Amino acid sequence: MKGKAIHELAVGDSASTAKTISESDVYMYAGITGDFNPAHVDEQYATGTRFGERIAHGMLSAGLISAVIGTQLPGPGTIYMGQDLKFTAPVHIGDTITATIIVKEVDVERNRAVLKTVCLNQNGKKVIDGVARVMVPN
Amino acid sequence: MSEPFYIPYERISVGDKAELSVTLSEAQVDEFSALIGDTDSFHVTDAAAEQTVFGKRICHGVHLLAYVSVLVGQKLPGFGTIYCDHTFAFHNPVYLGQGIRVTVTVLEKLPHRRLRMDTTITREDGAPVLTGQTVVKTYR
Repeated sequence: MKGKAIHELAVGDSASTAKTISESDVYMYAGITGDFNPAHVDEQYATGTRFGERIAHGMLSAGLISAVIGTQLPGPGTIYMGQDLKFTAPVHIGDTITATIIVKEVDVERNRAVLKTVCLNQNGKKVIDGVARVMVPN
Repeated sequence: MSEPFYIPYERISVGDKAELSVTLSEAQVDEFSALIGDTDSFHVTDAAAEQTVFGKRICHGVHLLAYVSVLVGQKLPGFGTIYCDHTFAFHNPVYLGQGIRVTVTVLEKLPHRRLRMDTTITREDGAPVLTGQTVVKTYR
């Protein structure tokens, strides 16, 4: 499967994916990356933090952004060049996160695009805000 | 239980540095793909990778970033650190099985126990992979 070519992208195009972040997602992420920060894997500790319970790793939600870019918009073949990523609220186990990509700028000459990247929880609260820079090969 | 390792804000100085080395296996990349829902990209299939400039499968950029988070959460500042934001650029791919070194350096002490840190990832052959800056909040 091939993604969109640079000339097929228009400012305002958007795509999204949603996923409920389960306890097993958090432990799988911890197992793959070795990130066993107690805020993510120790409920006893987490109840004493300002979050009140275990929270998901920020990069797990950022991974959903990566998945939308790599599978939908622009899609397969897109190269992730960089990003400004802001973690604006915690993600709790059981939250449903919707990652949305909106095309902001298209540079056909240089095969580059700038995408707005936002993750919202089930209450519409923004948990990640940012902008990604990608290269879209022909 | 002893208290987990962390460096309190007042004991951190500009220039403090920490690093870790890691190698991502094919199995880790496959598991990460499944976790984030990447079912169809040049990270997952050899055929798709052969059509890219990379020629072979490479690790997800966001997977590499996870190790910046590991480093700040385990070594500098350590336990209880909150990741606030991260601005970064990628320069070279990391192929499956290729080692990387992740480095963070304190650039500036900000109010409210926050730190601005430089973040770099370098490949074992010396090629730069990522440069960027992050803001984190220390535990104490």
